[in-house]
Amino acid sequence: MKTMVIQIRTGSMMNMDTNVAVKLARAASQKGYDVRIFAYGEGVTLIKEGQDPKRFPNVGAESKALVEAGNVEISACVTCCAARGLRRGEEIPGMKIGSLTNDLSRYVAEGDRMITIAR
Amino acid sequence: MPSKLFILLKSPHEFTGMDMMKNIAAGERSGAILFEDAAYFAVDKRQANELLSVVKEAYVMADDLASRGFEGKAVPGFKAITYPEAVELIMEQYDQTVTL
Amino acid sequence: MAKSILVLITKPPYGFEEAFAGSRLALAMLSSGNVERSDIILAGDGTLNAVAGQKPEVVGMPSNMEALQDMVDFDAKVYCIRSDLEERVGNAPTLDFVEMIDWAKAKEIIDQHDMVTTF
Repeated sequence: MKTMVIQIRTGSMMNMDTNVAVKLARAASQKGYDVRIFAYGEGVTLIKEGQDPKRFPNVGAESKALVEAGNVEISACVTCCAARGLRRGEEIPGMKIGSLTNDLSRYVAEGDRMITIAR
Repeated sequence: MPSKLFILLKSPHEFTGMDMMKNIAAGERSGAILFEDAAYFAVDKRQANELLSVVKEAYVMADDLASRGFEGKAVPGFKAITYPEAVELIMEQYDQTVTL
Repeated sequence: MAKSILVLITKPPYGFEEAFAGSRLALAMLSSGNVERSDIILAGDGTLNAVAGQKPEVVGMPSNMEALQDMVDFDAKVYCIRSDLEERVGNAPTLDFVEMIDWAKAKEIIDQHDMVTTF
């Protein structure tokens, strides 16, 4: 089965970009595709545990459910996380603080299409 | 030549990538999916025509259109689609995506 | 399965982190050994990254010039759309390792890559 790679660079609460990324990932996963999400720049807020937005969609909880379903993998850039004070152990269980070199390059090599969600 | 599917997220008034899209799309099978505020491209005739002069196929996310008060009101030439349909376009119908 | 990724940089230097982030992504793809080819095209406002004589240190920012030049160490190419640059700043001096091209050539290069990501 083919793999969709999503690169998200927008913060979780900045606009609906992360929501779009999660909805694409969910639809792709439900159609049987593998999905790899790489969070870069402000996008790393996606993996922060304990997100609790009032009234707005909880993209952290929604993407956690996708990871638990099995064919979605999510990694975030370690340098971008460090820059924003997001430390290992603060990520949503099942997600990973990784790197461009180890994770995104693998996602690209194993991927069939990449979609960039950023402004 | 790989076919191109453009991903647009910004409103027409915020979007500055039309010339770039024109240059990248030239002479190939090309389409665009309008997400979020880019959905407004599909409801204003002038903006819609400009976009349709650049890409051969134009799609707008049905939920973004409906949430903004324009359900079923996309101008002719734009097809309202669901997320599974967007995935089909990205994964099976086009070779490359380009976000602008 | 993608063997190559083209990084299209459309944002100017220093007002955004995009150009730097895009350069790092391209570099990481090459250094990983997982992706065979990764090149950069500077287009639109992104062409302003090709201007010579930048002094990022005066605003305390990392150098986009150095980030782009690192690509050359991996035999990767950094291209710039000449007409987009001239439209913005006329005939400004440019970095010597950046290859000036027109849109027809840029399209050829984009078509040679499996994936495209925009910054």
